[in-house]
Amino acid sequence: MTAGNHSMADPPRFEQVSAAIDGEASMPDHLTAEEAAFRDAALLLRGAFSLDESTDTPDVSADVLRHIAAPTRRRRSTWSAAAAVFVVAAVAAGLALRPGGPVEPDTAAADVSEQVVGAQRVVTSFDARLVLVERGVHPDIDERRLTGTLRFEAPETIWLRLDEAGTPAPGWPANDLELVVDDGIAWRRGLVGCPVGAQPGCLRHTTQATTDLVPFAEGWVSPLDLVMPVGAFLPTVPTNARTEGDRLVIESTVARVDQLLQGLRSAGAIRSVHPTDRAVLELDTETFTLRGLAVIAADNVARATWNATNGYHDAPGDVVIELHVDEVELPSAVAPAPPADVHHTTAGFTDAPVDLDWDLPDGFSIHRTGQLDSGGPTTTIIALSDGRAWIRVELTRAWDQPRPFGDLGTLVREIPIGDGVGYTDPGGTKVSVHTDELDVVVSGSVATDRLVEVLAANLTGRPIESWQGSARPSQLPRGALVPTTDHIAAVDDGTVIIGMPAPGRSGITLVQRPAAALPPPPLADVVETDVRGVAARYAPELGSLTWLDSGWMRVLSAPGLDLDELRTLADGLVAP
Amino acid sequence: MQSPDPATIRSAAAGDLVAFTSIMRACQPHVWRFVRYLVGDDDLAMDLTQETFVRVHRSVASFRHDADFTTWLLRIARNLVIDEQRRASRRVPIRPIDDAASIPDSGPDPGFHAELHAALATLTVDQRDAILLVEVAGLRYREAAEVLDVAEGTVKSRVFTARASLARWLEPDDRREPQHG
Repeated sequence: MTAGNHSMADPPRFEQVSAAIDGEASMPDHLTAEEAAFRDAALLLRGAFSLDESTDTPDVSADVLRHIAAPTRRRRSTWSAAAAVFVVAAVAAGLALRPGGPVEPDTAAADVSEQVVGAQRVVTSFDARLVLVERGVHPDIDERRLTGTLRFEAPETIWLRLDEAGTPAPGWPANDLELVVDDGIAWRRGLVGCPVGAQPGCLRHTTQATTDLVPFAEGWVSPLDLVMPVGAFLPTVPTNARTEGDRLVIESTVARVDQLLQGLRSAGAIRSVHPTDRAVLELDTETFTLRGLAVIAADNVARATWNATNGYHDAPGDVVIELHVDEVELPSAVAPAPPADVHHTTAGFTDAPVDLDWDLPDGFSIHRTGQLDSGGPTTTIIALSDGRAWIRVELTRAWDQPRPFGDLGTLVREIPIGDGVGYTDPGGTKVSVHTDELDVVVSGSVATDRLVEVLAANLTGRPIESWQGSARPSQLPRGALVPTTDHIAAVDDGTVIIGMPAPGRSGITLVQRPAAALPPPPLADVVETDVRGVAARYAPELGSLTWLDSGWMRVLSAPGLDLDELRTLADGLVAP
Repeated sequence: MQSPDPATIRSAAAGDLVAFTSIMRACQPHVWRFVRYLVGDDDLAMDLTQETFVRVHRSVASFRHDADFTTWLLRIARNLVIDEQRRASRRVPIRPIDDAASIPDSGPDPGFHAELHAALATLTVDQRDAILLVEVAGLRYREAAEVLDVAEGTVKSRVFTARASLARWLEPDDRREPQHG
């Protein structure tokens, strides 16, 4: 063996020299000439690497923060977002209804959220023809129109195809896309979105495929979600709606229908929109399936800043995205398999029988079962479905962390489940239970009480020792503030975290901690304002308001709210 | 690379973007340099660095505080590089020596620096990742072992082997042994 042209008569000594250079061992006494030469070469190498440290490194923080605030600028699309397009696209047509006919929803609809979530059980299949119109796409393209078809078979199969209508603008590739999710396999083909300023040169076609998907995989919108925007209605919160003919119209923000719109963008090179933009959803009054969607540019400083940063020129009130759906009967066809030469990525799930004697909720039966081995604790998965709605149960015996299984996040609420206890995330979209033998998390397209019902019928949860979930008002430190509306609070090493859950990305977070001064703003582009009688700083790109009062720094963040709404919210905070 | 203090990590996990930003600004030069050596392309490295911190933001709430933040962060970055390689269905090359002229000058001896890039391309992936985690990211062997999911002794061995190989490349030409085979 040699080190360069140095003979290594005693390799272990050379390895010790190497480790000594890294401070991981002592340097051997009396180095031979060869060992000394190796040491010198290694130090020269270190010098070469250290030259890099004087190189200017790019600062990605602004782009990352913008993406967090309004995910628009990533150059790489993901499967998860791609699949979500169906939430937008899957508008009802050719509905096949369960025996007994459609439900009769009350369209007076202050409780429209619960009705939408409940109504998902009537849709078993449909075919639809879609028209998607984008406006203000690029200085070269005022309007772009995509047309295509959608086929859905409950509970997990969907096939979307959209093609750009007419001839693409000179120098622009056709914005055609196709997406198929079928039995644990998903694939897409289409353009990958990229920054407006670099288009059309940065646009490129890709085809991607993933196999071994978990049933109703997170990050992949389940096909049922694609025919009904359930994600915009969980957690169920009071939602106003009006009836116009055979349509139920719900006016909200893009933040609320974020899952739907992010998917739309990622399925192809679809233009971005801002979280505060107005979203007008149209649902069928009988089936609550999506019939249309319009996104209208908002009029606020955050929107104007975002326009400039992202290369758009939308005026307040412009309708920037429209989706129309017409019911059709499409000739029967089988969804195509991914092209043979496409590289497949495995998601780590293996279908297999599972021996588990559980009581299932009324109307639900086992859809798929198997094992997930993707790097975390080995997990057994049982997917339940009533043919349309779904519930996924994940169980493991290998969870050894002092917190609930299932990535519930920082804010975790403890709730009674049967004779025991369990834990939920702020929105109640996941419920976790710990027992002596098992850790289980349940999620699905149903309301929290249905998830709780599944667990209560089969397990008695125990508290997790040394785990402290949500804090009661009496446990909050003096000086902390809370909203008067429903919220969840936690205290973590002196930092008080308050969450106000809401559908999509429209939730609100308040983080407070003792401080003598505000740190520098995360982005240079901030607006000086005031709140609660003191100076405050508004970061429009982040949708956050920061101020210092009574020795506390408080950061109120809500991507879907504008400055006036944030100030109103801040003014309403009270002592617990 | 110094791990951020636990209080800052907790604040970031709670949604405090000021805290998250301070972590990102402290760590991004190390992540970028590490990723750039792995992919050999400045733009792709910037993309992957950006994606790394988007992933960190998404999952920092589930970060285990009994683990080391730096190793967790670099593991995410390295996995993204691996995913990118798989996605592209090709081995992402360290910049070949023919492209050395396009490597930004990083110091008083850009030729030497280009030679280093070319030399890294001759290592196995295991050796390359180990030496970069130690030399570029500044990790201890124990930390690098966590990132690579191997034993500490394996890191020690890989770093030594990589160093021995690189040392030969970095010697003046008139001292370099001829290649055989």
